[in-house]
Amino acid sequence: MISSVPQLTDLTKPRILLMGPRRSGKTSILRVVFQKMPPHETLFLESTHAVDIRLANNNPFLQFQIWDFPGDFFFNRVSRNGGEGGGGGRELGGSMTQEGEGEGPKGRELLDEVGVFGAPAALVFVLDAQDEPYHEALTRLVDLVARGQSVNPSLHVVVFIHKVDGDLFLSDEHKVDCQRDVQHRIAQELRDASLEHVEVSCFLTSIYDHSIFEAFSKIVQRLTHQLPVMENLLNYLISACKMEKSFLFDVVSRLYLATDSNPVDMQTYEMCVDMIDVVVDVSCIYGVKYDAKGEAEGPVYDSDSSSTIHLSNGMVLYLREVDE
Amino acid sequence: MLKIINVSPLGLVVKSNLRLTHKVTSEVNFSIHDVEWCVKDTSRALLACGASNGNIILWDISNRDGRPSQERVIAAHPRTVNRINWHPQEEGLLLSASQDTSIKLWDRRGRLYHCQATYQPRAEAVRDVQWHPSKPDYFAAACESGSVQLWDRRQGQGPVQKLMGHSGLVLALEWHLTEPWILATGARDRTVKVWDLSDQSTGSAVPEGGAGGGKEEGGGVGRGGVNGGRSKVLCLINTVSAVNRIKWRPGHPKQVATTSSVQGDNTIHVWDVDRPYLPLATFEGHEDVCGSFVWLDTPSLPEWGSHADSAHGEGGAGESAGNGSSHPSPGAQRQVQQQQQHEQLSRRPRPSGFFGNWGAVWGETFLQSKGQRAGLQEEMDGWTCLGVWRHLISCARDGRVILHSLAQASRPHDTLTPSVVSLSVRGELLTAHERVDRSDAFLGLHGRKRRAQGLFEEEEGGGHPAGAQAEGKQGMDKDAGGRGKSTLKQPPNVCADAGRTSPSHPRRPLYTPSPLCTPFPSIPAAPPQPSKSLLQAHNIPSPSGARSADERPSPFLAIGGDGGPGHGFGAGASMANKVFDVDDSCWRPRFLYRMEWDEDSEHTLAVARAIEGLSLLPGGRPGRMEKSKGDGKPKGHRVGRRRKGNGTESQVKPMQTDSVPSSSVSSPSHFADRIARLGKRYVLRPRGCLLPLQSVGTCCRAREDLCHYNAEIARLEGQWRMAHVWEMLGVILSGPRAGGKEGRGVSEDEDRGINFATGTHGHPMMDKDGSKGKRSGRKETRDKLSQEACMVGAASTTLFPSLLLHGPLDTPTTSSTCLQLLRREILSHVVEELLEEGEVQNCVALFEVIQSTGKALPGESLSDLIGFRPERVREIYVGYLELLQRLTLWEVANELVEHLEDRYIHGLYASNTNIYAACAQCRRPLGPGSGGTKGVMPASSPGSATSSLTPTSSPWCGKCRALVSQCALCLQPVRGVYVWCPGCGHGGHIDHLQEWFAANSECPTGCGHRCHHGGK
Repeated sequence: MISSVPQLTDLTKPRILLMGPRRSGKTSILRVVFQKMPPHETLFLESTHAVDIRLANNNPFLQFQIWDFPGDFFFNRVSRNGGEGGGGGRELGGSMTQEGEGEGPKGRELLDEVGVFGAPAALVFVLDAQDEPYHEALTRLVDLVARGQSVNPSLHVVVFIHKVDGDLFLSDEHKVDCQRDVQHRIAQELRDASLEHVEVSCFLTSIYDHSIFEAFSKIVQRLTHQLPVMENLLNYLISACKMEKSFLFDVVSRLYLATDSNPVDMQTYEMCVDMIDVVVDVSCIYGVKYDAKGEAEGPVYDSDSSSTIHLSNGMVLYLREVDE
Repeated sequence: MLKIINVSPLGLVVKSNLRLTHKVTSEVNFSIHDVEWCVKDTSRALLACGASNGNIILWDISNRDGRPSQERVIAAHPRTVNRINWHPQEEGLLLSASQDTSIKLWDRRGRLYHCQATYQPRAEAVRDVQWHPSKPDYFAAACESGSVQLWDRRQGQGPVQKLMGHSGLVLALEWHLTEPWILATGARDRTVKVWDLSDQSTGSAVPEGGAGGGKEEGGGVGRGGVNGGRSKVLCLINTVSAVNRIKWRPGHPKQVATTSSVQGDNTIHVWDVDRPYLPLATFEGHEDVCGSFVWLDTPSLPEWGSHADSAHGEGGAGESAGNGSSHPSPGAQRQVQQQQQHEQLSRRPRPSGFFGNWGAVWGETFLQSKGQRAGLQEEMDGWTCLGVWRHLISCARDGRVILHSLAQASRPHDTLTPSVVSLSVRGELLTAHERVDRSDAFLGLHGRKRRAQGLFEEEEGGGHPAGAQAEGKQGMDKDAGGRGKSTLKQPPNVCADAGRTSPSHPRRPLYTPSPLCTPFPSIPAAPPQPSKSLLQAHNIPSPSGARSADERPSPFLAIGGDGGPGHGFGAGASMANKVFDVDDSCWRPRFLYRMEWDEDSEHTLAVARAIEGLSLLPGGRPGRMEKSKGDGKPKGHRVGRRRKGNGTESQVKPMQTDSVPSSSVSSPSHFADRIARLGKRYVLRPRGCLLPLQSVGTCCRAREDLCHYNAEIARLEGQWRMAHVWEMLGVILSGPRAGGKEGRGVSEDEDRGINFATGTHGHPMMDKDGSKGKRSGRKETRDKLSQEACMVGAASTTLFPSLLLHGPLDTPTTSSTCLQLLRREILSHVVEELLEEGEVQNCVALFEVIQSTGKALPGESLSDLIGFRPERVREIYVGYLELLQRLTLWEVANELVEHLEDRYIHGLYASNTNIYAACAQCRRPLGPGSGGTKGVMPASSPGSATSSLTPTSSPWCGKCRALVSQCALCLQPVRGVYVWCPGCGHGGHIDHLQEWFAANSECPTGCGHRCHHGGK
């Protein structure tokens, strides 16, 4: 367990603030997306009691802090929560560094509105779709939006309508209804708080499929300034090579940092994710280099590697690392 | 790669390649996502392209030196331009929707292309945008967040209306072409939704108030947008894959075509919004994702069927052409051709090849300069019809542009299998074929089938790997065409076989005729074939493609070996149910014409043989014919029968009467309209006054004149076939007088018959000689009379070719006898056909005209002419009356019943319909001579009844000399519909009274009578 005092540079990196009611699945999302936890194991996760700040630093384009707030976090209780201070961080996989929540006075300073929303940030409000009514949660969302907007007008607000799986959401129609309902209420609440100008985008997510990855990718893309350039490059790539679709992946988290401007088909995306899993797994077995001491060294899949998978329907998947 | 392609009769011809003609400044600008012609500016050919690097490139194609030039390159967006859309009305206004979550409005006026406004839907990338077709300030945008937004261009701060209906990206939208506030959207969630954006409460649609006025609506499925909840989903179509592009079919308000954005589904589906589960038609042929397409109105130029036409002259299968009007002379054809090539009827930019091959979307539009086109249309008038929109041009990532024809598209409905069968106690077998669907009717496909368009499939090099392969395909297509053509000259049965590309075509007979006469032959249903064969059949574009049209189950006699669109009576009204008689020995459909052979049939057979140029007839012994007919087994399917055609049937020509799409079968509402119009416009009995459409008096030879008049009506209505029937009836009714005077008639008749039979173009001839020539000179010379005699022959040949075999044509001196003998068969068959189609209206009209002289001449009464039992006739009448009443066409029904002599029908419809009207002043009953009317009375609003005062009745009361028909409210005499209260006798204009009784319940005259009990 490595604990380090947050560097100033780290703190200025864009933040993803995961907020939402208790047991709505915030930590589960993080575990599934960033730590490859199997979705069904998230059932046994304990609730988060303190703000948990991690740094995602997988590659030059994927650099941000993820703030995982406890479900009962309220700004007016900052001092109490800050004082309790969560017990450090848990080990995060890959190159993700980890930092404990600042304790003591420093932590308290962090957790007022300015501290939270002061840097470029995206507020991700996770809403449990299976936990109706949504009224209380949405009131809280509006409160957070109001606070955030006052500090940081460029705050991105994203609502994950989460857990749209299981028996309650068998058909797409249910999901759309739910989304429409939530959006309608949010619009109303925002109007009542005279915050109509705030753009709130909603995603239907579930950790049991790839929708959470897609939604998270969208957030990451919003925080990435280089997106138009990367998108254009990918456009030229598929245009020149007559590809159907291209993604720029963060292999560790399987989020896509950019894609060309053709519509993303979920199946294509899932296939690519599966391919990454397969390739990385195989590489871990056969592609590991050993140094003199017999210890594994270096990344298992580097810029020298490439892989091609031919599918029986004529589709070809190609994976290659793009040099930094 | 950006190319401009001419759509010409010869195919798709690359006119210019913009990439080569221009010094390419930036390769990147050719990575194009969307292109659109500026249709508004007719003086110049402006073309806008949205590129993936966020630029919009404006091309001016109409330069003097003929070289396209880049008018302007706008660095419009930082990210990809997903869609561009010119303003439909205002010149030079261009909308661009981009991946960068914004929509920008560009104005060409003033400073060249400056950004006039930027709209931020704040819902992620904007995938599609389109101006409202009629409201110049509104446009709709489709966003990746799943929302569809309606914007007012004057309100830049927020959308007027926001619809949440899709989970996932909305990829395409299009406004309905005619309905003002209907919008179709297609999304990645594999659905197409049709929205009604009009404000239900006010009726007029502009939803106002921006983000403000939303009222919650009770959230049912498909109810309510985020804002307002006033829009509702009219229709939800579940497609098989993400919808990439969506286009309404012009002229068919309920049809919409979609493409998919997912690899693996390279088809274009045409859907009917009322039948959202199976597409009406599916276009195949692309090998990669189809990026974009446009509907193309079927060019009604002869050159489009020019290959077919050339085949024509050689006696090929009577292709389409027979729309019953004049065939253009070759000179005219050339002229049109030149003109068309000259003016580039349509131009279309095109993707592909080297660079642009990737993009999903290359839009294309047709630039049609309106004036020229109108000129064209004029030229084409008389023998073509535009506005059927049966073609579609699509481009795909495989680098190909394909011209599709609906006639060749596969129809998924065809693959459905029969579902139920039931045997009645009377030995009638009833089956319901899901398979016999109405796709054709819905698609407006009954009618001329063009062929050879498939040859137009164009291949572009551009280094595409599929090029060579596709070229091979093209060659194959040509082969197929050539083969089809060559076989056209062969005996019909051979031709039929050659034309068949897949013997196990799923449209082929449901019923396999059993070879032996068993009491209960088994009727195996053909299992649905793998769709591959279906696909194959449709991919053959040439004559067989055209023929596939008539392979469609149609209730019409398509027996006979030779092909040609044998959908003589329009495949439109295909019936789903067929009734078979279970006879002692064989099953045969009731409606099937039974061939009865005379002893004289030797000659007939010889004639037939000569006509067909084949010697397929088995021996020609009557008995044998009878037997083989007996063997005819369940011929529920004409097609089946055709295919299995033993020699007997192969000589029977398919009917070729009608090829023009008639309005009759397009949709239920059209049906009602048509019934109403025809019901009112048909003149069923002689009238003293001049008819609106002709200046000739109708006093003499009334029935014939009625027939000709009604033929005109039918023609105006687009019912060409019915027009022929009327013409024929007219000739038949005047036949005895005409016949017998001219001996040469029959030989001509025969010649013509041969012409028809060998597949030369029959209709123009018939029409020209028949309707025009005859009308002008009908009463004049013997020559003309003889022509009439020919007419019957011609008409009968055309309408019912089998009669050629039937009539004793070997007695050349008595053509009148021939006619006498023929006409009953002709008429009864025609009527049977009409009934089969459900055309009770036309049947009744025919009956009425036949009976219209009152006292029928001997041999010309209804029973003599048609040969129906009175009960049958009565059934038809009752059916028609019920139809009229269902459509609330009381007046037509009333008039019909009034003139009917059938006591039974009178008992049904005219009993207890006497209305006893009384003078409002003195209460004296008004006699029939002074205002009362007897007739069919509809149930009307309580307390009042409507009737029309007969114009002849006196407007004055016989006793008190008061004005009977005075309106109680305005005190003016009422003309037209007079409504009165049977209680107090007061009445007046219907609208005045409605207004009055909306608020009051007592009589407006103040007599104290409480006329209106309903309401409050």
